[in-house]
Amino acid sequence: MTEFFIIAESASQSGIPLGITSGGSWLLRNAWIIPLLPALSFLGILFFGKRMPKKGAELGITAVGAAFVLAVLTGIAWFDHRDNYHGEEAHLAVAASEHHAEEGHSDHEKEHDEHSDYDHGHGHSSLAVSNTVTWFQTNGVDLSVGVLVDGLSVMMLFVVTLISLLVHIYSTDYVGGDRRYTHYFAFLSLFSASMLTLVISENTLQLLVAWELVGVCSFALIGHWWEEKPNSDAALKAFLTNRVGDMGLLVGVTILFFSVGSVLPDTFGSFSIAVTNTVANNGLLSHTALLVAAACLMAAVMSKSGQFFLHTWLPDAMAGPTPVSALIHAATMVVAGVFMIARLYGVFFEGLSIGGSSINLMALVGGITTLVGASLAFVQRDIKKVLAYSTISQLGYMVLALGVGAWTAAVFHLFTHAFFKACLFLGSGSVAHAVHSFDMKSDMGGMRKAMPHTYRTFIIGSIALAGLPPLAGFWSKDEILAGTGGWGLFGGTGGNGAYTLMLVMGMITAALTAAYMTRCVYLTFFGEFRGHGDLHESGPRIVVPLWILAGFAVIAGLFNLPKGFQLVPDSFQERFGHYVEPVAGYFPTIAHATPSWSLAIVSTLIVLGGVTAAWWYYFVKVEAASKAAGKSLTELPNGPTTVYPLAKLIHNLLDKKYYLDHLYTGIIAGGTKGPLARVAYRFNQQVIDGTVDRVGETAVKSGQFVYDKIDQLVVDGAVNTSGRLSSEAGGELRKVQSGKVQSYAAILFAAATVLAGILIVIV
Amino acid sequence: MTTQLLTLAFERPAIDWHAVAPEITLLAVGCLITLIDIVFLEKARPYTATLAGLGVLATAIPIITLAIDGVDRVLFDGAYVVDDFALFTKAIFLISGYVIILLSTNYVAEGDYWENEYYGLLLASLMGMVMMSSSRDLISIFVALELLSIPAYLMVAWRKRDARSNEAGLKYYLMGVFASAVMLYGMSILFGVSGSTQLSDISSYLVSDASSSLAAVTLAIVFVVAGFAFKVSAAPFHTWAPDVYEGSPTPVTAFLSVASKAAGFVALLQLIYVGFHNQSAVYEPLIWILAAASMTFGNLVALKQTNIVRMMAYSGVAQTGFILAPLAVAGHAGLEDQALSAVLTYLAIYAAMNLGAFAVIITLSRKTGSAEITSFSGAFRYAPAMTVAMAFFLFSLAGIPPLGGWFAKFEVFSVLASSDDVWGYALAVIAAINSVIALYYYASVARRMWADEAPENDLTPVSTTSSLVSALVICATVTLAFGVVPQIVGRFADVTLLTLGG
Amino acid sequence: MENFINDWGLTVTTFIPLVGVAIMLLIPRAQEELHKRMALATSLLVAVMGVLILTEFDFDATDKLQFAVDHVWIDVINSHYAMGLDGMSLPLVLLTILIVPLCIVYSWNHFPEPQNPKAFLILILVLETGMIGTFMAQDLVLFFVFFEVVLLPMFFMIAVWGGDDRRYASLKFFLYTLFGSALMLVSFLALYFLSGSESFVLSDLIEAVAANEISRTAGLWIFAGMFLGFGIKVPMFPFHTWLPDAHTQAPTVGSVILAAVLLKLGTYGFIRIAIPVLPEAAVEWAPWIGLLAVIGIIYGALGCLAQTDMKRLIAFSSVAHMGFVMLGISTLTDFGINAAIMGMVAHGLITGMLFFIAGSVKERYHTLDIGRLGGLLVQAPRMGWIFGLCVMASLGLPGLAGFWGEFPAILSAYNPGNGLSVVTFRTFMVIAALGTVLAAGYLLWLLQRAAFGTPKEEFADDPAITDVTKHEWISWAPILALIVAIGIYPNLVFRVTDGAVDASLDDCLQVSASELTPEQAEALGCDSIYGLGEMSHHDEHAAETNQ
Repeated sequence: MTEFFIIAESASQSGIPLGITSGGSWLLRNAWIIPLLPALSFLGILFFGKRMPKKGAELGITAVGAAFVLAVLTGIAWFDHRDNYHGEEAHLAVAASEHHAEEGHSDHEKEHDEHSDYDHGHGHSSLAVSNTVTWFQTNGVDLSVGVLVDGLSVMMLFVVTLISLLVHIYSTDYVGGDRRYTHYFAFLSLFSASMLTLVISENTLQLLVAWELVGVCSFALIGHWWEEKPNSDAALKAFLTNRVGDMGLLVGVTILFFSVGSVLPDTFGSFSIAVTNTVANNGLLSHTALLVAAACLMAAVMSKSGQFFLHTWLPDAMAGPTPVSALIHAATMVVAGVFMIARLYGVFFEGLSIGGSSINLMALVGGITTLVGASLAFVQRDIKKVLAYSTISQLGYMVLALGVGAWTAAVFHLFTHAFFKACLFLGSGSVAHAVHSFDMKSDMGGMRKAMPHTYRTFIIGSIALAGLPPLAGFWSKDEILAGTGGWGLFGGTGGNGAYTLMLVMGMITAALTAAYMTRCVYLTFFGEFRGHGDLHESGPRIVVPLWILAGFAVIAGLFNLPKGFQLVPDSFQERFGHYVEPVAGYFPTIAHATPSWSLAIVSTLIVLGGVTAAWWYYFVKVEAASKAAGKSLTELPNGPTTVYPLAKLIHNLLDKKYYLDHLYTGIIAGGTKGPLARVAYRFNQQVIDGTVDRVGETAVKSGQFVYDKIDQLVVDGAVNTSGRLSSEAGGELRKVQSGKVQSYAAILFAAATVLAGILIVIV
Repeated sequence: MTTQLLTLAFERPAIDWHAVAPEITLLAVGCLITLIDIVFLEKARPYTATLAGLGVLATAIPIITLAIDGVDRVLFDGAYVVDDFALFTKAIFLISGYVIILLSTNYVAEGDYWENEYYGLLLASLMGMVMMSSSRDLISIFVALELLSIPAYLMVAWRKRDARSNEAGLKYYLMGVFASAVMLYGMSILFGVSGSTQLSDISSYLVSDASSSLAAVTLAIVFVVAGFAFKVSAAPFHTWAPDVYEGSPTPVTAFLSVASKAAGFVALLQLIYVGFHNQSAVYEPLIWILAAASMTFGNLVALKQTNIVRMMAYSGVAQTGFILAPLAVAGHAGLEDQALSAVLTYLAIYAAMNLGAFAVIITLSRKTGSAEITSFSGAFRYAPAMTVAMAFFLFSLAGIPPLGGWFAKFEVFSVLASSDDVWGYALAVIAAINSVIALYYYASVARRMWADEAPENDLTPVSTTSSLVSALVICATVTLAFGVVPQIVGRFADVTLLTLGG
Repeated sequence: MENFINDWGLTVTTFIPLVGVAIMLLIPRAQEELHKRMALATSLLVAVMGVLILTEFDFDATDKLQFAVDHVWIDVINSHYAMGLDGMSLPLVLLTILIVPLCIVYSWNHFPEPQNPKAFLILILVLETGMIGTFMAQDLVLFFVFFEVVLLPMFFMIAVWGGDDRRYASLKFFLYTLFGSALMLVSFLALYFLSGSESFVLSDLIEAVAANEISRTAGLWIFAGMFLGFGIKVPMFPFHTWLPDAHTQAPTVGSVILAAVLLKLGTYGFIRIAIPVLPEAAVEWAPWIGLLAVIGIIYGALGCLAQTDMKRLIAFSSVAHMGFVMLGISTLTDFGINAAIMGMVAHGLITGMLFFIAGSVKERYHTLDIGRLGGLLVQAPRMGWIFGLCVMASLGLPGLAGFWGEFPAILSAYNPGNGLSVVTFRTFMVIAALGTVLAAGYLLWLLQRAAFGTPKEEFADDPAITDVTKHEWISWAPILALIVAIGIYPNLVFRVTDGAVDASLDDCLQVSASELTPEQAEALGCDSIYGLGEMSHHDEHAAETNQ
């Protein structure tokens, strides 16, 4: 699609600046090598894995390791590019000049300028690097495949390769000796390749392809132990739920393709992300089209990123091996939806009118999800499910942040969350490895002594997740809360609107998160051991990745200290935002919230409140009750749910997961598979096919009828009569001769006469 | 009137001997066979069939020379004409006749019947047909018709000890007489109205004096057409066909269903094209009704037949409907030639495929001793070649490319589709639907032969004779050739009748 | 060589199988090995011809008929022996040429009952001639002949080598399709006579139709006749009911050929004949085609969900998949038709492959009852993985061939051709997208029950259940490779088809109305044809977009 980019000579005014360039460092232009490495290792493992000494694992680790190194180098190249690149910028020629909404356009331009000055203090834009080749052509249009490298994709490359590498290493121990060890690594590689392709996608078609591919990897890995039906059920559920969302993606991408095409000269569509965003940002697309497209894409986000009400597959996905849960269902794939919003932010920003509003679809979905996830995390016995619901809740946080316009905060939260959540998942795997179960209530407890490393890293991860300073989660969560712009206590925090409701939701979630993590930590590591077998700490291939992730969980938050944070020099503030947030034609003009000390303090107090409440219940009351009972308890014998009807009701509702599973599996899927399909099939067999058969039968029957009743009627009648008459004579021959010939002759003469009569009348 | 007759002294008409050479050859061979039988008695029996065959082939020689000559010859003041049309149809008759001789060879010999007389009659009947091709006069048409019919009555009743054969013969005879009566009545009205027996005169009279007694003309046309509709077994004049076909010796059935039917069509064509060609208002609707009724009726009834010969009889009725269909629009300006060549093409192809089908039936019946369709089950196991051939012929009858039948049907459709007339289209749609119905029973037979188990799992191979095999090969080759290179038949069938006698 | 290919390439390719048949007829039936070798050699020779044609094919002129031959065939009806190959037919011809030898290899050691390799292989070769001929024919009569030739061998294949209910299925298949083609023939003839074309050659007809306008009613009726003929073959809802029976009863190889090639004859007829010849009638019929297509998508999927037999399920899935193909076609856009051809190729490969697998499963388990299957991945892991791959491909996973038929078809429905209602087609698009979800549903459900889990007790220790055999590998590997190759690089097909589709479509259909100035429209003669004068919905749409 490169032909409709006009690469301007200099800062020419022809066309709209896209904020992308085809120049830049070699590493940036050739970022496609990064996904290629694991893709090759996938093929290698698939075909030769079983014959290798380590059954293919070494190939996967090498490839992902190399990809990680390249990702780091790419990141370094990006730092340089972001600050020092002054190359040519691609411009976009637009179909007809009258399409320019003049006023709107100039407004945007003005805002844009202000905003760049305000935000980054650099005179030039951060040009993303785009490099494409033709993939295929249809309808005379070349569709391309390529890379769009900017801060967002570089950040994602780093996160994905790092966590993937750690998970690979971890897995060599965790799934060692598994029945399908080689296949496991093959799919890990394929997943890494797909996810990396997704994050560098230059266009929505490529994104869609990668999106589906990560979905199928997830399917394969959730169903890794497919001999057991629950696992394959979970895999199916994940895939199907994602398909529902993909439908939205298909439609959304299609709408964008043609809408963009309608304003471009000489082409009827474009998949290019940069072009789509730019056109949307410049007000060239109809609001309706953008709104519909954004709503459709939201469906995709809801399924992939586990947003309410398509989140139900994610907890079930925990049927897969734990490292997979860490990699795919916590740190990387599930954030693909969030990433997609961030990528196509121009579309969402305009389509959902995020600026200057106080509520919109995305923010609401995020807000509800975050509450639903957090509340459901409370009632889980399975440690992975606690983390799964927590993931849902945190993804809700990110979507909420994007919904209120806090782009950087959302992406930053994605970044920090990846580390601490991966850390927690791998930690839970380490625990489960020791006790061979994920059930906190029946098989865990008191494990802090036996598994010190796991315990410590888990605690670090939990604190980071709960959002206590100065660990990673605090900074990103706080940025989101500030970004809602709803903190009006001391005059608001700016931002894109007054999303007070979202702020409240975020606050409540913060408290709930702190509380359920406290519960989880208590049930797992405190009290007395309730399971069986001898506990032991996991080996180095498990522990080292845990510590690395824990390390990141501690420091990641420091990458984006708030602007105006008085305790550090200016050059340490907002580094993440500076390098990751695009300042370019393809990125919408968003307003940035002002960090607020008061908000930070209040939110911290709320988190502490949550921790305290849970601590009081578990560490004090339950612990005491356990001692009294002489065994390790998991809750109070007369807990609130047995005492108060309302609490019981709520518990029941949560226990049944708000009945959503029932709705989907029982009513929708069951209804389609059962009655609806049966009715359709019956219709097919009885109505359509029946009609066909009946037409056939009728033809045959009418043949019979004609034969019996017309062809032989006169004959038969005559035969019967003559038969009676001639029965004495007994001659077969006579009967036939006399009877039939007479009647035949009668027909002959009659027909001739009738025909003649008719024709004489007609003619 | 009387004086005129008296003053006319007998004058030997000038006879173009070349033109009547085929008829004379046939006559000579027929006489020869009869004579040989009288002289040599039993000793001649093994050679009669061969002789008859050779005779028929010999007859082809003058036809070829006439064709090469290419001049239209008019004899007897236009009552007898040798033109391309006549030659083409004569060729059809002769080739069909030859194949029927091949089919009869062993059948008749093994049946302990009068063999020589059989061939003598066959040749006589053939001669009637050959004459029919040239007849352009009511009287010569009638004479030809009787000449071809009377031996056929005898042949039908050939198995004289078989009640069914007798029944069939008698039935056929009686019905034939009735039909002739009706036809003669029509002819007499025609003569009465126009004062001439020559078709061309009748035609010009009907044009010049169109106002006179339309009802009488209509009546005459209907009756004449009805007479031939009997011959070609078009519904509702087909009633004799199933019984007669079933009762006759199978080669005779083949003869009736192909040659005799073709002769009826030839006469019909001559009447319509030469005699009534300005009366399309009458014959078009008439033929339309006959065609539609024959197709629908024949096919529907054929669906329920369990005896293959009866099925072939009804399918023959349906095929008649198809052959008639182009004539239903033959009066449309510009369509005359096309319709004619469609009918002739169909006749030629139909002859090949129908004879082929009967050849297989005869062969297989030798083993099974029955003509019930069920007795043919599983033939693929013991007679694969026969089964494949049968499938060939059946699907050709159904009109599936690349077998000849498709082109025949195609020609019919193309005439109907070019009629630019609602009735024409309607008939085309009826024909299309009918071809699907027809396929049902054709395919059922084919499937039964291919896929089912043989009755009592009897897998002994069938015995074939060289003459049957050659008949089959001829039919199969022709069927396939007509389908793949329809040119062959298309070229020859591209004749005209209109320019004659006018 | 070049000359030979140019003049004789297509003819030779088409008729080599018949030469093989002639030779095989002379070989006694007992020499089975010889028959197999002979048949394989013949089909490989065709494949070699295919490769030669491919090397000589000018990929820069896919819109032109190449290697064209045109001789008068039946002069009385002005029918020509006109053959030619362009970008639209090339993929399908190659697909046919590929599938046939693979089928022969596959059946090498296990001919279905009642055996008789000679007859079976002869039928396959005859079928090959018919299929190749149909895709190459450029004359309507010739096309019709080849189109019908295909019926016979398939009829016998089902009737003789089929399953228990083969009588019913074979006859139904035959009658159903013949019914359509009989009316189609009437349409062809009416078209020929009404347009006053010089011959039945397609290009002549197109010209004649464009020159002498056929009345609207006549055009509609003629299109309707073709619609029936091709629609039954596709098969489109509600003419599809022959398909599940035919597929279920047919022997494996028959099902494969049926799915891979035969179903494409109908869709090919639409894009090769119906739409180019009668663009105006096509515009009027398109919404109905689109409607039936989306009904087919949903309905086929629901039908699948109700199945308990693996083969029948796959058969029903064809109804849904061909729905996508027809949806693409019904948009009457370049984009949509390219997608449709891609869909045909992809469906041919994928569903063909699924039928192969079903056949192999049946051979091992002697049942295709989904309820009794299970644990294929345990007992025959390689086959299980191949099955999984095909299921993924079939449900339209990107990176595999199926996606490129499905997604662009949905895409094209967003912006249908000129003169079509945008709202209607967008509704179709959404319904079709819903169909992708259902497709995933039934296919994964099938995969889960057939491949996952542990084997049922009755089959647990059955030594007959082996993994993929050598013959299976040989016949499957090329298909699998193509599924992946096309998935990764769809240009393999798109590059070939694009030019030809563009050339075959009426100019007026291709331009989007919003881009068409009134002067251009007049120059193209479009406004009279497609009612651009009204421009109603386009205007709305354009206005909406330009706000």
